[in-house]
Amino acid sequence: MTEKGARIKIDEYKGPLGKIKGFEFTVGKVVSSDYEEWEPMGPTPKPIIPTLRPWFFKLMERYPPFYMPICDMCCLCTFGKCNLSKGKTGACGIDMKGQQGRIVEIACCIGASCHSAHGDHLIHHLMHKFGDVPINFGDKIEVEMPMTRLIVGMKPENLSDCLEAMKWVQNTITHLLSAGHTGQESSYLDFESKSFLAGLCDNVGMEIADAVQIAAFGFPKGEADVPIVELGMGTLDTENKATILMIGHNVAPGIELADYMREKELEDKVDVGAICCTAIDLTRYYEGAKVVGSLSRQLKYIRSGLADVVMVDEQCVHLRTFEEAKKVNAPYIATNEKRMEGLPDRTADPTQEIIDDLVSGKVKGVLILNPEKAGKVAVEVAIKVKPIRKGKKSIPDREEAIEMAKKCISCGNCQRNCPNDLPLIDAIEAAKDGDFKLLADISEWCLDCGRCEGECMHGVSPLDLIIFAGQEYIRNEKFNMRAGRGPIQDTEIRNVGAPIVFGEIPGIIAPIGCANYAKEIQELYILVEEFLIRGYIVCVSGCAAMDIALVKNEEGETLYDRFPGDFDRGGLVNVGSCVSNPHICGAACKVANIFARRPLRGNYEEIADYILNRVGAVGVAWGAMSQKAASIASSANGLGIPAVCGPHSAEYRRMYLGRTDNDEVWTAYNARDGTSGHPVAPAPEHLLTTAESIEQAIVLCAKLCIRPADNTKGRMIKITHWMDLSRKYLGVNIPDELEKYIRVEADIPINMKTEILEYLKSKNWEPREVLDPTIVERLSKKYIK
Amino acid sequence: MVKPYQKPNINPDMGVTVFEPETMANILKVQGKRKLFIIGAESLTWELDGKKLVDYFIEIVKKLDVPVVATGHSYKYLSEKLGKDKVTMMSLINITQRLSDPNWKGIDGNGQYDMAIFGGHIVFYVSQTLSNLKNFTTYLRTIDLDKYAHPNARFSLANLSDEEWKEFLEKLTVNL
Ligand code: SF4
Ligand code: SF4
Ligand code: SF4
Repeated sequence: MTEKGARIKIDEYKGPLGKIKGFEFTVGKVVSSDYEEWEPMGPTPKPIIPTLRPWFFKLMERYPPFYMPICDMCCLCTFGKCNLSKGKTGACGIDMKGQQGRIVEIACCIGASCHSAHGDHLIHHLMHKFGDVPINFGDKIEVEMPMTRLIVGMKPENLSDCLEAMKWVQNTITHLLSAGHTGQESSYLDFESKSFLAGLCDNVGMEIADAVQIAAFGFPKGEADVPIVELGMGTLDTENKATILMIGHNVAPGIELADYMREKELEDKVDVGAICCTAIDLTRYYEGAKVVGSLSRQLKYIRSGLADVVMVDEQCVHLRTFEEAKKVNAPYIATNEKRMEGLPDRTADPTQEIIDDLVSGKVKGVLILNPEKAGKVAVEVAIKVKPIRKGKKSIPDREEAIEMAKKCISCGNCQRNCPNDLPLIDAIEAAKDGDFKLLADISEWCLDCGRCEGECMHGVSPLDLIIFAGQEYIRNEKFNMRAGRGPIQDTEIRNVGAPIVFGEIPGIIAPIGCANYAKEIQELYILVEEFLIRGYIVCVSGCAAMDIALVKNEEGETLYDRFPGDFDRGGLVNVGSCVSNPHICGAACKVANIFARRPLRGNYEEIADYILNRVGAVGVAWGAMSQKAASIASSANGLGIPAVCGPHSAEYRRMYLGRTDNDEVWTAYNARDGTSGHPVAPAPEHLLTTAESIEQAIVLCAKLCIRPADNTKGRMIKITHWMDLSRKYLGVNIPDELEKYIRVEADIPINMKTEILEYLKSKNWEPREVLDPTIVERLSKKYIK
Repeated sequence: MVKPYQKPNINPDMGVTVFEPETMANILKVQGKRKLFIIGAESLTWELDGKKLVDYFIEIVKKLDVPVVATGHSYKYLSEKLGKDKVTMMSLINITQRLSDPNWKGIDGNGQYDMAIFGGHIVFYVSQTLSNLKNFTTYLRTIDLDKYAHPNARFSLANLSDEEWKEFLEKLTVNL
């Protein structure tokens, strides 16, 4: 029996105690049998650090961590700096691998705590505003919150239940983070095992954050036909309306802002748009909101003078936004305790007073921690300040831009400080003669970081020049995307479970994450279109969900116009913001649970083993930048879902790479008879890897969808796509080591049979059995009848 | 060495800048017995004076007579020009992982290499893979022939302009 706290709310009470209105009380712990009975408890609820260590170590036997230090030193304690390169150890005894493992583990803890603290804030805010709302996603979803069921072993029924799950997250992160202290963990493998566990915390923290906002704000609950919303820097009506730009991830103040606008009927006076996940979450609530774009749009948008008010919440917000807002006379509102920016806390002040101070310019920015107040202030200030600031920009006009360019001495400092090594010298040189084409071209490759301008000793801001050159593009950037739909429905899982597990739907491709691309922002589109046309299921979230929509076909349609939002063959599913990612991992878990009837509750290892061997899902974090993306990757990897990252992700320092030429590790138990040592295909080849180009990434994704348990028809389909894409993008006729992926002749694509058989002959290929594979000994015997 | 091309990429152990093509030719010819040239996809798009970078590298490959690993999506072009038997397709991270394993048998099965030559890669990406080799191998000389000063390569160039780079590669080829 499990104990459980209860909150009781009584609207009106008349009785022996007298008359009470709006009464609410909490009883410490009650015992509920229903709570216990929904599924038998598995072996690992609320795992602590050692609990799942054997599973993570098993994964790392196949996929050992591969380190690429970005810094050879450590300066974490006062013994430092310590040089750890080439086999040296620090004063505390840590070696290079240990240090890399430690930094990644700390990053994963930061990422997991970010999502979880966001979720924790939402639970409290929403309970305060709406009471203890039930978590019910409707008739089509019985298994809501699969990650929390799987990891924590509980099934939250309302917001307050989530607090208990959150307690596990918070406690675990504290323990994990403590391992990073000097003189704690020494083994890189144990640091990695802890990174995986941080990924579990992240999965639960994210899932809670999204579940409570779906439940309380009434976001879509997994319907495929969610509205199409506007995307792009040109979508806000700056001519006729006052505009508010929000940036960040916590939608609470944005919701209040939208409510206030609707209540006061101000929608024809105010236009609201957002950057990053706040944008995605706002459009799940208010269709009139605009998605301005992914994180690499912040400085461009503010400097272009398009926002009358800038309101920020938390995570991935450029730290110079206040400074930038001041330059264009846009009042600035910070709304979250994680990011208070040294601003005066005006939360308790009268609303009108704050509005007057911001409009008059007496203060340039304020901190308002009450979302309702922040929303109202933003709307009122925007209306009043629009005629005063008159669209003021902070970029040069044409003449000034040419004058600025002329100051450039082509020293190249800016270019060498640009994370993408953009050809700034040539582009600025051309601008000296009034030719801004090169600068405009760069615009789509520019990460909007501003690192170039800090480096110039001659008064040139390459970023200002880029923004000037891109003005026309910025004004006209208007696309469509589908709003975030949230979870995958159980009914959808029932329909696609078998085709996914048997490989007839060749895979689930999941581009997620940030916008730190090595090349142009539209590159990911190529990958997504390719897989949609081929009938893969594509799930997207966050910045990636926006950036794949930045291309139209000849008919003027974006991918969202062309492909339906169903979790089915050829469907393009936008699950939502960063915190919606667990719906994708959750869908893989639901395949195991709903289709294959594997129990979820506290049963992490079995479900992960099932996914690793059977569910061809692959994450694509093409522009991953943040610590959150690191913990999201861990959350997927621990479950046996591999991920392909872009070139910048090498700067995370660590990948999990398999070796197809190491036959020893590619064996499995056969769950039909419990026997061990059976060879399996080296699939998925990696758990976490980078790719050099989008072409390579496309081929790799198709390959990583192959799973040891594919049936012969499914394997044949997957190999067909892999080979087809290898030919198209790499010019490779027969991929190296193809023989390792073919078990029996029936695995061979029919249209290439003759040439493949010839190839197999040259490799002395022998057929081998088609297994029911598992890599966990305990599980190899569990289902023998 | 000169300051790294990517200026913040400073570390205590940094490689050597090679200023003269003759010196580089000498390193490539004399040092190392088992050599591998790893050519990336940027070599298909970067041009020096209207000629693809990959074509400069192909000339070097022919002179040195070394096996080639084509990374990214450079295989098609390289295998067409050099022949399929000379070129192996592998990702940059996979070849780095193998070069980092002292027990790797090599592409030809004859054992680990002692010299890896790189060219045609995104500067910040190859810097990371070179960092793995710098930190975790003792037997491998790494050389990067892109125009950048790469602190994680044992030998690299001096942040050359395109004209200087072209001249460097041409002189290098002549001296091989
Ligand atoms: S934590 Fe260890 S390696 Fe880092 S500075 Fe301190 S003694 Fe040196
Ligand atoms: S703002 Fe753009 S051009 Fe400037 S350093 Fe950043 S990415 Fe490079
Ligand atoms: S740092 Fe300044 S002077 Fe040097 S190339 Fe860049 S813009 Fe020109």
